[in-house]
Amino acid sequence: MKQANALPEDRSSLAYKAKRLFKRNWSGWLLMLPGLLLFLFFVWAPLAENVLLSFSETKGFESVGFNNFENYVRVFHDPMFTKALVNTFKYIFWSIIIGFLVPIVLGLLLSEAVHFKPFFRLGIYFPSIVSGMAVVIMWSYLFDPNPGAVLNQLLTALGLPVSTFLSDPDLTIPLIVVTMTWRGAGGTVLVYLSALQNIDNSQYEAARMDGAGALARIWHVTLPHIRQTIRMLFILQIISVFQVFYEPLVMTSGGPDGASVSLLLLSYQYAFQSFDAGASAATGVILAVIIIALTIVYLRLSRPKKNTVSRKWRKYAKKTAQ
Amino acid sequence: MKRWLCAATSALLGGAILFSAAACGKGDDKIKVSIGMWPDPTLTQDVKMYKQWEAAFEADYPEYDIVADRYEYSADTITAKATSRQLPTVFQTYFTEPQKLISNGWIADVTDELEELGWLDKIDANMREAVSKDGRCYGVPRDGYGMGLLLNLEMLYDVGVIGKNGDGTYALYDEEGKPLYPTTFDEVREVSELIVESYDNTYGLVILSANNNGGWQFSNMAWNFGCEAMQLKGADGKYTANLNDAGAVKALEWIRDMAVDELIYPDASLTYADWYAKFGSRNVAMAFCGSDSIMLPVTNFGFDKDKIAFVPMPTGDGSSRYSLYGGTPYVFPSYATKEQIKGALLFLKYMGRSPETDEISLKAIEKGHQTAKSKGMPIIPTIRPWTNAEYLAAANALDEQYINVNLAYYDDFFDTLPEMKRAEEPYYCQDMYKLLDAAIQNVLSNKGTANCKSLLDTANSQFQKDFLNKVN
Amino acid sequence: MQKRLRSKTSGILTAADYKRGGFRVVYSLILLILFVAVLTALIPVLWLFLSSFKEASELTAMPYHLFPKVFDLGKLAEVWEMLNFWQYFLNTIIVVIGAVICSVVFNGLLAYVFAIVKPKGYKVMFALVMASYMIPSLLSIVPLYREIIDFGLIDSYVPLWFMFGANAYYVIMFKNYFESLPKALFEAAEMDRCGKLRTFFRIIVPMSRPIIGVVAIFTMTAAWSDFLLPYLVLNDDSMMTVMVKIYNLQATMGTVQGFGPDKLLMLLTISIIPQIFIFAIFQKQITGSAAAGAVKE
Repeated sequence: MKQANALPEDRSSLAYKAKRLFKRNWSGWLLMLPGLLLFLFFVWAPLAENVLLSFSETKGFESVGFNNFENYVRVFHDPMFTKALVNTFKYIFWSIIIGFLVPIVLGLLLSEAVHFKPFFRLGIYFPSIVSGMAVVIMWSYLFDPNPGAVLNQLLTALGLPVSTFLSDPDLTIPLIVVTMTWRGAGGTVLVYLSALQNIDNSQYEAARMDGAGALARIWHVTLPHIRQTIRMLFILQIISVFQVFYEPLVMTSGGPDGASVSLLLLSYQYAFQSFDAGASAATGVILAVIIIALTIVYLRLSRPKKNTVSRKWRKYAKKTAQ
Repeated sequence: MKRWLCAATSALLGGAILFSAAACGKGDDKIKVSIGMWPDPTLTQDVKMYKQWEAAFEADYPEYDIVADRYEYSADTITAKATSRQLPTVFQTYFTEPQKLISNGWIADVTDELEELGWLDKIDANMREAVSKDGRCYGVPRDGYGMGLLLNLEMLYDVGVIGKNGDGTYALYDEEGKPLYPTTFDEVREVSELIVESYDNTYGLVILSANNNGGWQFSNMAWNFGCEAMQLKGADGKYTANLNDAGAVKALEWIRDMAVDELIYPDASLTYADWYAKFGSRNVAMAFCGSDSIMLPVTNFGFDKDKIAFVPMPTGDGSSRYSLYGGTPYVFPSYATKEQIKGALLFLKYMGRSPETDEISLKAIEKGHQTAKSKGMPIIPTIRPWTNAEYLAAANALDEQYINVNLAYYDDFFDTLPEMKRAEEPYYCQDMYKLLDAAIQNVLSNKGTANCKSLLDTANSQFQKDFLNKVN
Repeated sequence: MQKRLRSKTSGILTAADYKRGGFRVVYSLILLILFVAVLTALIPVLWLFLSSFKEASELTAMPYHLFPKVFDLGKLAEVWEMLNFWQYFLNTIIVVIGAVICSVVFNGLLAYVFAIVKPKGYKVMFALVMASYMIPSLLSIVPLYREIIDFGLIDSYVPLWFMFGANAYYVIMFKNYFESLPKALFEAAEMDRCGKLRTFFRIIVPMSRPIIGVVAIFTMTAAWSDFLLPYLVLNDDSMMTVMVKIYNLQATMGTVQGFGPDKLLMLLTISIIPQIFIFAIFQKQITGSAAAGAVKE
């Protein structure tokens, strides 16, 4: 390639260098262009504009001059905002406990089952085919707080106390996460299942010969093997938490008294219900800052350290390689 | 794979271009008037009725083209619709909204057009005020409603609150003509206790608490517990928030006590659709609602219209009795042309929503009644937006023909309404309702522990700071 | 039960373990938990199906009955016809297909440049994409919405398709995969003087089916349930997606005569039926792609 380009030209001239630079790179940039334009339109430009808007006085959706930190001050003084901020961490917590862990456990169990396996797989996946809005509305009917309604009757039959479900501020967020998990877990379980089936059986054999018990096998063989998958799905889970929006909108309108309002929902309510685009933008910017901070923390924590892989796993892996 | 991808991509892009081209093109020299209150396609009878009106109108005014463009007003969508100029030429909203819409510059001043048609001075004064700013009129009222108490007569009879007449109808009054139905909040509580005792998993009353409906009901309750107003106008003309008035606190405490004793439906996020759902399913015996939506339990739940009564709002302190008075105006986006607005106004006449009493108008009113009747809806008196005598006479005459309920169940409400009616609070009403919603939700979800005073204090200071200060 | 367990030779627990009675108890427990999980997955849908045949007043009537008084299939037909629900399905499918294509093509191309072509200065762009890694575009909904209005894209599927073409997460997934492909391939392509775009479609795409499948299935799931942007962009009833239409009906139920919660629930049932068929037909592809999402260590 290089030889073909060797033309009798002054190779040190600036024009030649620029030409070469262009020749080598234009096609790459051209290929990038559509993608970059889309990022510009859907992500970067709105984000930058949002930052500007958050320092502006607004009328409708338009900025009508700067007002420094007024929007931020207003937002920080709104009790609803404090609630949304706290709720964000509650959503993260519960979605790790419920949304993230349940599929791992189900995936593990499912990979161990030899009876009814297709039935289990299909059954667990089934809710994923229901559209999200239908799921949310269906569950809000199921969560009828009337003691005589269907779920409360089930609780009574199981000898448990009746519940007011979404009207109980301590239960709202967990129940919304349950609803999201009910729909989302099936797909995730299948991903784990196939990761688990990719594990080379001889490593289990090696562990077994080494006298490792069932839990030790999970810890030293299974988990290290699906680590990548777990990591990917963990990030997806967290991303989905920041997008929580229509679930509380439909199920509780963010209530009771802000107990389930998410930052995205609040930002939407500011813009589209209180006609306060400035406060909406400020909330969006704050959410972005939180996400960026968490991303940095995550990247720090997950930076691959050599010694994170258990020594035993290496041993088993080595044995099988031999 | 490659071919498939290429073909699909180009098809996609081509489709996109076609779509936008189709959206732009379409030349038509007729004046387009899009109708936002066009009924939902599910309501086939109503759609048919609108189509007839459309045909009649277009026959008389061939320069116009009526287009169905259903838009159900909601605070969520109005900003979007207005900024993107997607609003229909005429659409419905509530009386709480026009001030906000006017100050955002989204709806048109129609004073001159109304003057020209001779309609302006026939508008009910209260209603006109709701759609006016600085003496200019920005909308046409459709009808009004007053808030009252809806009763399940069968249940109230079964628990012994009311009696029965010889002809099988329910007796709402004793021999001396005194009402047997609850007229105070204490009595509402007593009736609720009876209901809860007699039926399983059934409650006395449903209290709304979400999407601003809680605040809407609550402001009426607060007035009736002695709150003078939730927005006080000072001598200097400045407004002070009064959400934490003693009367309001009493009203909230009343709700709290009802919740603690499990007398109201135990849900802390009930929206407008829920009051008639709970009432229609007999989960509750009573509900607060507007006089314009009494038919909902009947049309949507098959509730027997002869077992419903609608009585005045109860009083809390024994003397204050108000009925929150609101309604629905038609408004027009500010970018609509004069011709379009004129067309939309004339179309209102073809719908029977004008003060005119010519044949077209009367036929349209009658058509509305007929459609309602064929659906088995209760037809009750409505609160009229027009005050001219000939209109009132004609409309009342038609009403008498079509009313299909026992008026004894409604008399008290309509008799007392003129003196009880009271417009909603003047400024940022929906935002105030929203803050009140939060307080009510808190009370309903933290039953025993909620401190009503401090909840209302919080709402009050926030309302003053974020909203009322903008007015002053 | 015993027989099949004896033949289990792979996985964490094998026949060797099941010789011991204790593990058999563990296995029964595993099956029990899975049964409960499946029941939890299926029963709510079953409940929905039963409830949607009830009259409105039956839904929450006390005492509560699980089964409707009458099982009238006519109601299903009535609601289906009343709403012409096919339209909304077709719309949703149009949105999903467009979104999947955009997602694969644009994110894939970008990742291809980042991973293989690497023109001078690409790192800046890559850093920018990385920076928006976890930030949902809906976070700046007001400016985004204003842009869409300014470009005249209201009541158009274009923004809904293209939004999926700008997803940092998919870009990174593609990039990681492309980087794992053998380098020799692209060098050979370069020797053949294959254009960059042709290399992408001729060599990369056929070799990347697994990752394309994963991104496609993720996009499909996301687009199928996408709500806020479709809700704001699609005002015209005839263009609405299933999600938007259901939400609209739910939100305005308080004022619409003749459309009570029983019809809403029937509508939800109806909304599931075509999906069941789609799932039945493409079951292998769907579960297969989900499975391909497992990243090999």
